[in-house]
Amino acid sequence: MKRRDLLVQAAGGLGSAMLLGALPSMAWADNSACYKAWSGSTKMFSWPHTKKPPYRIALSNSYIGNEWRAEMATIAKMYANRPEVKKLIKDFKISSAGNDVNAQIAQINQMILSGVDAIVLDAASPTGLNSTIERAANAGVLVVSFDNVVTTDKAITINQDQFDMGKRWADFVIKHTGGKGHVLVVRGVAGTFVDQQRYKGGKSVFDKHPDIKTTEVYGNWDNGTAQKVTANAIASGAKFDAVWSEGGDSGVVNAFKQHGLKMPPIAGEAENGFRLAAAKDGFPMMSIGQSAGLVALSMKVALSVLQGEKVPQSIQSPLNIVTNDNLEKGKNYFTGVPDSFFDGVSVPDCGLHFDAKQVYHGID
Amino acid sequence: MIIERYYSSLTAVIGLVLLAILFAYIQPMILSPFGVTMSANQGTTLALAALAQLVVVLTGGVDLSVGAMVGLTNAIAATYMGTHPAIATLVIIGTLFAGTLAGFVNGLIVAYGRIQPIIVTLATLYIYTGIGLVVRPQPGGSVPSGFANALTGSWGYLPYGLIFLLVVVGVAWVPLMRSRLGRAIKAVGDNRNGARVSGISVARTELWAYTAGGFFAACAGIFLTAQTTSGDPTIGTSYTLNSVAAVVFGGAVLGGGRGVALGPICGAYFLSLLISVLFASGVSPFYQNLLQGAILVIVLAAANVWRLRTRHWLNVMSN
Repeated sequence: MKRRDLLVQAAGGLGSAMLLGALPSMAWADNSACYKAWSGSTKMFSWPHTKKPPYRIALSNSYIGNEWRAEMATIAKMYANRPEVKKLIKDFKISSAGNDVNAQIAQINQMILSGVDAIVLDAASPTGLNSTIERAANAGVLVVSFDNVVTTDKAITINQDQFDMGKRWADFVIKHTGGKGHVLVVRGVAGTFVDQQRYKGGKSVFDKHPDIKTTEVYGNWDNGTAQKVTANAIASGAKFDAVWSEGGDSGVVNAFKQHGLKMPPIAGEAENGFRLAAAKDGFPMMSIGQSAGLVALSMKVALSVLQGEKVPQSIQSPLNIVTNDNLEKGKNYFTGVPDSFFDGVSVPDCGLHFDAKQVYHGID
Repeated sequence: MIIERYYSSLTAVIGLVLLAILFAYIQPMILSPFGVTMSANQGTTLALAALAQLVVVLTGGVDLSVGAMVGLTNAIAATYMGTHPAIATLVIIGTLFAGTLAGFVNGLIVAYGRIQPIIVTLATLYIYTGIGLVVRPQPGGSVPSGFANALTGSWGYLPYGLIFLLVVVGVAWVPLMRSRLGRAIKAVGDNRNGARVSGISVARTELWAYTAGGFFAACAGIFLTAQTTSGDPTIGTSYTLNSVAAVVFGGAVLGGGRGVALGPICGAYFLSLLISVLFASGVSPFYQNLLQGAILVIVLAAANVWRLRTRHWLNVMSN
């Protein structure tokens, strides 16, 4: 069984390598369709320090304690090893600072001193690094920020619309409850930009429906915590008609299962266990995932800009929405990866696809 | 005489010098004006937080709310500072006042509520973080660029951050420690009952020590605001335990009574430089925390072995 898996993977890998090998010149032809401006007022970003490849690129990550970040780091390595990318990169380093702004400042300073050409950044704070980024830009180091993006326009920012994500989850909840009932709202980590945006998006919809009652808990985007707080909320005697959750959804599903309750409609993130359960039990679900593949898109943008391409300063990557209608095994949920695995590993509209199993097992 | 006074700081000073030499060897660019300023700025917030911790540790207590006060004052400063210099000045004064008030509340509960400092400051840690989140629910805010440059810029090799630290030490720390209150703080930490029978009001001394701690935490918060040009209520978390580590590394005794500012300040710069050295030497992030802790333990243990290698144990006591 294992050997067959290996052979299949090897064949797949060989096939895709040949395909990519055949298209080396096209790979960097035109990316304007992929680099979509965030809004009409987004300015174009032009970089004065363009130069010839190969480049030295560094990934500055903050938090390392969850599955999403681990997947993200693996995808970064996988992308850097692709033939069309590898020839543009002289040196690629990943380092993580933990959720400590001061450590990440030290880390970025270190990268500036060591003379990298571009830094791809998942920030510990949306604002705490701004002055450091400005210093990087002045020193001729390009900064591309994604996921937990920064607010300075000296960096290119790449993200999915978190507000819209929260809004669509809420629309789904309204549709399945008929606009009345008790909704369990499972939030992320307090005080973060992403949590604020998703929550505001959800609230903008719920506020229009006076018959919707919400109970808020903080699940910290973590299955264990989300399961605990959901179980607490259920144990308090409340009956929930739907769940709006920012993450930790495998845990949310487990909490309802443990209490032997009928699964309510759940709108949530892209954990594999959540999608797997929905595929099996058929409860109404909507799953929108922040793609860990955003890191590959950010590296792609960095390489484009260093080569002289002009891109929008703020780039929006579209949401990939999965509902009961388009759930598909092997495409947007997987077997052979744990429940906590985040299924959003690709950026389809930019042609950035990654193999889930390989992302889970990592490469070296 | 003067060497004897600063003997306890020796580990931190030697450690810092050795680490700086190692860093310069790995990353020669660190010796540029940019490198020097950057390294100094990285450690200044922690150095100020270490002073906040030290003044409390000297009384024999510990302040777990240092990080929360740094975060709170950072949130206040960045939220209200705006762009006008006059308003910014008022906000800086207000921020210092807010931090001092937070320290005063700590002191009030510890001294007159008669509750263990570790519990009081654990509780106020949550309270001050909570207030910070109310002031600034999500990271943001802005500061005048002149303010940021004035604190984090440099004149050639001389970082303004270091000058700011020296000013705080010269204007607040040294006069405080030379005053009657400063002597009372050390006396209370050294021997509570002895201090009481000598006519020192222990409660009042503790109250003002925690208040001073709040003031130094606010100085740290203000510098952090200049360094990050923004506010983030959760940014302070790492300063609590790192400030304790800097204080202990700097030769102060957690039981109270002994310690000078030089040690903890060097300890703070050592800890922040250590992070950079680990990054520069390419250590995997998974091992960085582990190494940070291990290096600290080894250095402290080595220093103590050396110090305790004496014929008369009475000599140890006098250190």
